[in-house]
Amino acid sequence: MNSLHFRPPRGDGVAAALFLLPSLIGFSVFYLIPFLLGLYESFTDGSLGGEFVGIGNYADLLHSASFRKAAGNTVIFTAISVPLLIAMSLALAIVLNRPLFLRSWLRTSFILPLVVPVASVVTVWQIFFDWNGTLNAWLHGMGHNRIDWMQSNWSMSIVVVMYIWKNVGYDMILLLAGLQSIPKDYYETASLEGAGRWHRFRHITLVYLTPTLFFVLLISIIHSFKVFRETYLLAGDYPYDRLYMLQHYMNNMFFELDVQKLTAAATLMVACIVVLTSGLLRAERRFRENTE
Amino acid sequence: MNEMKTIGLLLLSLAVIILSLAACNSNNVSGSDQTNGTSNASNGSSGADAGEETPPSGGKKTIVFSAFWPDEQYERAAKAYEAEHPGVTIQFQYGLSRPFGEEGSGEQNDADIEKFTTSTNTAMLSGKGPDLIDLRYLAADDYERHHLLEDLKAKMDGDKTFRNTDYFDNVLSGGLSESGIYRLPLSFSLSGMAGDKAAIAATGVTFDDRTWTWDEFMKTGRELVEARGKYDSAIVSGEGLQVGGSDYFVRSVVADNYSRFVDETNRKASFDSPAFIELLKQIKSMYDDGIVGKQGRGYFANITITSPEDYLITLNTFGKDTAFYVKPHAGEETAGASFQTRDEFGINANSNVKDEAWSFLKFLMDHTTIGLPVNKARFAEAVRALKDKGMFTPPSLGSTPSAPFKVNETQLDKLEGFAESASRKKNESGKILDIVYANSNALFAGQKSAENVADLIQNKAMTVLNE
Repeated sequence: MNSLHFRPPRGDGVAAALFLLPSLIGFSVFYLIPFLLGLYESFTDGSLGGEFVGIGNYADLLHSASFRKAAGNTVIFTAISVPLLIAMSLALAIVLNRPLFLRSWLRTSFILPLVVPVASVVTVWQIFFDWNGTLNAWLHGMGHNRIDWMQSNWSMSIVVVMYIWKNVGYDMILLLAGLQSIPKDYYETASLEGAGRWHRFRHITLVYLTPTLFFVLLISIIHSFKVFRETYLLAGDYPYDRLYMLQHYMNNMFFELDVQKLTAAATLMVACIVVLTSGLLRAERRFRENTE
Repeated sequence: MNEMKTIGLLLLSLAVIILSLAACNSNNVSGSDQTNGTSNASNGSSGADAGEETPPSGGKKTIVFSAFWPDEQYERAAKAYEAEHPGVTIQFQYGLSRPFGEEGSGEQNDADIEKFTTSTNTAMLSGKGPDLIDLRYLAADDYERHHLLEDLKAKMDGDKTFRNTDYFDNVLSGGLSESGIYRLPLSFSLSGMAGDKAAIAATGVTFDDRTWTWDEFMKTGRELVEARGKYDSAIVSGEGLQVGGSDYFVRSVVADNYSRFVDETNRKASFDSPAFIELLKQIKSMYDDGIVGKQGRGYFANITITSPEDYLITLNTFGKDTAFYVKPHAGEETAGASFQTRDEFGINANSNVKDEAWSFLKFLMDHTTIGLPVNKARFAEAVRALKDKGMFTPPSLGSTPSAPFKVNETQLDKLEGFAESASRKKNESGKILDIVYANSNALFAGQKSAENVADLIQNKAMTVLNE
């Protein structure tokens, strides 16, 4: 009887689409469409209307020593800070998962950095680490030579510390949730069968926490790309060599009106993030299938 | 029932979307209302008082003229120009939203400048934007690099009615780059030093400021200080009577020696070279030996002359026997006074009325007397007008009324000579100079070695050049 080839979706489908629409519109207008326009720009030359130049802009970009330096610094920063962050937040989560004096206060205090506006904190850090700042005044007072924290290889460690301070609370919360979802019986059974502390951690905690860890890893990597805000506020648009990150490059290109290099750099960065994310997600899926 | 619900939901969300769109829209409308009805809302000039607002109508050509600072001389010239060329209308867009000098206008200016630069950048990059632009505060170099500006050299050469000799040619060609001239000033200012002639004569030290280099200046300064005359230092770091930090002097010296250390075409910097380290040490020793003072007065003070009146006022402020001295220059440069352009006009490469814009720009150059005009006839006129006055009363500062003084004709006669000899465009802005001065403070405070500072500067400069 039904002669219609096309039937409008009914019921939940329409409602879901409608509810998604506003966020979809927002996402498209503010992210997707600009990004696609940028992608297009990255293949054209600077003139108006834009002639197609293929991968010319990408070649230029890779020839730029500053871009390579920025990319290298970003990779180094991520490689150092993310493992440190995860190790620290895991340790904190395990400690705070036990009955502990002032536990809820401690938990709250680790989350505070998330809520505090960066700009206000950066000022304090700046005063602390400046060449003529507090820390150097202490060093000087104790008879040591002062160190130019922001203009030497120390600068990267300061940003790493800042990144960890900012993100440890968030990761800790996620890991705490993961820890609490592990059934207590497993541990009890294991200890009845004589498994030691290390054994329990290695074969129960870590295994059941792995899905959460994947997620935490992903989020931490993405946050590590966003450390630019802190670095920029701390050291300006041309910081010490080691601190010059990808977003510094993009920011400076923006102010030089070099839309081509800017969009090419952004596209490369997005490509890297997508590859990384999909790799991680695939690894996670495989892990889940293996454990099940 | 279910279907009714769905339809209801549909209507509801549609209403929300439309409402939010409408809200955005109405914002836009009120926004463009504030721009005094200029056709280009994206240009967002919250015009203080836009002049002509005639919309482009059949056959009439409209030149959109944009500048940050309003000037009634622009508008007067535009009226005269429109009277001469009935087919052309000139439409004004200004960046300044409130008249200068109003309560709290200082902060407002900064906000306005930011708004002006972003909106003009966007408009220029998207191929719109004004036809004739005052490039002050704008990234003129970047515009030039991205071919957003018309080559004015070709226009100047191709226009038979345009004679370079009518203008201070050095100032005109100050904007010359490898590929042409992209900006022309209407007016300029001279920077040099006010020197206490009598006190210098008393020390018996002689020098020729028309040809001196920084090296000779440093030597002279040492002699002046050693003569133990009226002042303790040869020059005070700062501008005019205002005493600045150590950076002022570094900036001038490094700016003048810029091409020795930065090779823009090959994107190479050589701040780690012994020559630069030597220069840093030399500057530092001038502070240490008190040749460059950090307070009080010296034999010389840095000054900038913005107009013939300003020339007289400045020299008068520093005392009776003050003279204008040419600033030292780097060894391999041509001698002569150094100048800065005030406004610099460029023509949008994407304009539809380039020829008209050029013709109007030429008209502006010939018919405005702002500051030190680039047009020699206007310059001479301004000087003559001052001489005719005989007495001059400077505008009073705050509540203290200023005393009138006699116009010194011999001094005024020299001014044209300085302008004529103006050969070096002083360019003290730029990322690399900012880096140099931000990183050299620790050297002058005696906290870091010159080598250390030079290395830091070299690294950052290379980052800029390699971008």
